[in-house]
Amino acid sequence: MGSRQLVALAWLTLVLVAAIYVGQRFADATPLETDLLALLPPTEKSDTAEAAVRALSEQLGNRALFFVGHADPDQARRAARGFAARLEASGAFKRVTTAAPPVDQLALSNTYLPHRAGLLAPGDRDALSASSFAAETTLQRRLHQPFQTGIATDPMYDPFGLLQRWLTQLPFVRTQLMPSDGMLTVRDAQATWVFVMAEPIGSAFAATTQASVIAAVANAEAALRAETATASLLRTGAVFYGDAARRSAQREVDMIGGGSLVGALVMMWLLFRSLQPLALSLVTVACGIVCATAAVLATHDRIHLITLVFGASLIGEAVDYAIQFFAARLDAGTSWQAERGLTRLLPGLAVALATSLIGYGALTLTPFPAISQIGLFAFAGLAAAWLSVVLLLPLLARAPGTHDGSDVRLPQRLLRAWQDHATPGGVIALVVALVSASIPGWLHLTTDDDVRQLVVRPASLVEQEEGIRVLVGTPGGSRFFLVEGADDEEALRREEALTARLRTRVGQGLAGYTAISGFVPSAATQAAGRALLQRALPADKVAPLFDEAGLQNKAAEAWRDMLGSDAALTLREWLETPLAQPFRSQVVPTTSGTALIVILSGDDANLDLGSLAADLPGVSAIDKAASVSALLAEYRRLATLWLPFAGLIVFTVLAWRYGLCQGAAILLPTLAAIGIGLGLYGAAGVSLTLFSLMALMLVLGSGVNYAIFIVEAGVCAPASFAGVLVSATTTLLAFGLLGLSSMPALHQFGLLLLVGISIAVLFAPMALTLGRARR
Amino acid sequence: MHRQMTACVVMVLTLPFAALAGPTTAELAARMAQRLEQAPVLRAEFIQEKRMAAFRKPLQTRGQLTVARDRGVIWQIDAPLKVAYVLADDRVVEIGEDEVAQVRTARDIPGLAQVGTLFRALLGARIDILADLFAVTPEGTLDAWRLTLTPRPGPIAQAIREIRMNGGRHVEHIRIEETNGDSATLVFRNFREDRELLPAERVRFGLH
Repeated sequence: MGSRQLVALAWLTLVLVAAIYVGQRFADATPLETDLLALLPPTEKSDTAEAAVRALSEQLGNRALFFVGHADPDQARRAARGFAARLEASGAFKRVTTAAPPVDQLALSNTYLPHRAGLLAPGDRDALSASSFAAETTLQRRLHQPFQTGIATDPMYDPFGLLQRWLTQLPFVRTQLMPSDGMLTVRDAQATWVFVMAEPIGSAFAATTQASVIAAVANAEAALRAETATASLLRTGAVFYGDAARRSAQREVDMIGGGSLVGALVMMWLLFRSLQPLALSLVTVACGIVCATAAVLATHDRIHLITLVFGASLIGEAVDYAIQFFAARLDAGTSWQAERGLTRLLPGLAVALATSLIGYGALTLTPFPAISQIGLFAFAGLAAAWLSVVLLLPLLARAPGTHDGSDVRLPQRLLRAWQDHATPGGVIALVVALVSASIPGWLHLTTDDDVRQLVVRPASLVEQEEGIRVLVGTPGGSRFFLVEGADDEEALRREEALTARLRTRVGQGLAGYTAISGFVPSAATQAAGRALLQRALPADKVAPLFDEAGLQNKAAEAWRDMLGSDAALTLREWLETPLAQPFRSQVVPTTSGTALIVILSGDDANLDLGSLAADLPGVSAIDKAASVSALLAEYRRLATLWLPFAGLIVFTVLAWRYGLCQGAAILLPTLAAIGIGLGLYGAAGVSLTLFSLMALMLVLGSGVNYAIFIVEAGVCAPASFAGVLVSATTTLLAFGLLGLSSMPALHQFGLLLLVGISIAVLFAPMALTLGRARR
Repeated sequence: MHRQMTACVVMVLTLPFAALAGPTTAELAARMAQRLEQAPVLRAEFIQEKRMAAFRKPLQTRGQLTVARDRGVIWQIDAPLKVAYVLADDRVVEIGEDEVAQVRTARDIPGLAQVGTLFRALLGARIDILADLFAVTPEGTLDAWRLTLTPRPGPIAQAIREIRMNGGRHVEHIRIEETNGDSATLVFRNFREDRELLPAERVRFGLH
């Protein structure tokens, strides 16, 4: 066995090991990532902030929310109860809640009553400190008003309603949900809607969770419709979006993978008319895909859906090397000697691989987990496919290929026609004309850095979520404040400084906020409140008022006791109460003290959080969507700067092999393609995104391949030229299919690759006109 | 929804019930809906009496009530102090003797819309809304009906034990028993129907 065979055997063994590894990983638990957040890079400066973003999105994100609606309230309640019972019985959920969250009014006043001296609603505090608090009027109105608004308190212990107003302004989640018969309901013009919340067992992003949740919901929905045909159901939750993303990705992997594969096989059959090249080409592609998957799984816990979909389109490019090899065999005819053929091919194949790897290598350097994974997948996949061609094919395809020449007659005529009519001057004039025509388009280029490029949102789910938004208002988005302090007291004081500012913005793009200091003011604030009461409403001043109003004598005593007590409510004490349960995730212990999260509600995204937090110590504005968008914009700008540099590197590689002039001639079609592609984008009004710029990088890296192949093959190698056409067709088919992806980022990727590489292929023979063939 | 609700308040306060024996909740509700459009404005006098453990003697409040279809309710207290509460769609305006108005919206006070809804539903015996919150037992005839409301489990059940109300053409009497033993009685009399709001009332509702 020669050294060639040994190396080939070693390579095959390596691929086999990789295949076993991949098989094992997929057998254990499908290592597929459907979490949209996992596609996003860490954007926050501090780990605390990043952890807070994660914790919050996990807490809110794992739940599935439903509204069961019916025109008749009783039927709505009955339908919701049945629906919830079926979800519960399915075993897919940890907890299914239809009951109103117990805002226990009694527990509420019991918690705060002993500490009421220090607890003042902002309005009362302002009036008391401005000495404009009309004690007698307030007392009379409180006693005689026809209804109590908010949380009712006993006039004996709260004659002025100070505690009542404090309790009423507590930042409980402000929704329009109304407890009714133990269920949370909301009415609109058509129906009464009953709220059902379900927490899945396991992460909403795990494929197994999604499968069991979707099945359970479909079942319960079918039963709901069977029993109450007129009932409606709205749903939202990450589990539905995750499932939709996974399904559409699987569909697309099938479509793109299947489409490119069939396309490649048909094209190759047209050229080679023999099964052997087809089978062996598939082997090299399979080696590439296996190694690419293994490389990603070895370095990452999970493989992103987006990577998988893109990976399916890589088939079209990975098959190119094998096609070139077999085309060269056709051209060689009976004089074919595998080793010598490869030696002649190798430099061209190496340059083609190198330029492609430059493009994909650049992707691995971005901080976007999704893009860098795509980069790694493609890098490993192309390298492995290439190695398989170089190491395996000369051993497996020793026999000469046969063809009667009829299949390459058309490509040959095309090439001849181009050769006969094209002159260097004419070609350059054509390029100059087309690029000049693109200039107006360039001037109209727009950019888009919206984070939603990364997210698939099926219309029906978006519609249902919007319906829920209309019913109950906006649940907190991805924007919030993080307040850090050395201890509880400092964190609370800093948060109070922030909420004092936020309070003035309520109604201006902000419906409200939930801050922990709203439930537990800092000890300093509580002491100040008590001091204010002692000064403004001393016991000897209020006693006659109470008497006149008809209150029992005990009221004055209780007031005196209250002013004398100095027990402030502490954060830790409050956290122990059941009331605090829904808000505990807003208190984050950190290595350096305490961090508090301030959640915004009804936030229309127009408020500049950064400037609100700017000069407040310990306060940071967290806006995940904006941070990601900012990062997209930053990297889009970087990519714009990097593109010429990448062009220079590609040119260096080409010049090293072909010399300056020939190198330039090979690069020119691709550069023209990029220029014209950009012009088309500008003219069509399609916005440039980071992903389209990344695609440009790939156009640069892979577009030159076809000029390289043509120059390497020369004018007298009709099969090789036909091979170039076949290669180009398979690649274009794959990227064209990628352009159909529902994932906006991949759609943009595919679209620009399709446009760019089409033009590059169309102009590739230019390299022959301007330069010389290698042989 | 609020427009409809106010309309129903008016309707229930103004419309006579036919002499049908033993009305069901559905019949009462249907009868109300049927006669929605008759008199847009109703005025009445009220006497409110609260009996509470915190007071040495019952606390009495007197005043006048205006219910306007599409607008809401004006609850004008005349004695022992002068203050008016204007209950509109999603806000309560408190207007003192000095005409200083204090506006509280559903945004300031979570649950205010619900309280307002309940109050207006009570004044109007708006059974379909009350049935969301209470088990409703009707008795008597459509001309002289009695309703017993028992809160369904929830926050209202924590505060209210039972509500009894009766009336005929209008709601005449409401008695609210609280869980802590306190109670409140509302008596309405001297009903006047009208087609138009008075200028002063229009001002209260913020109309010109």
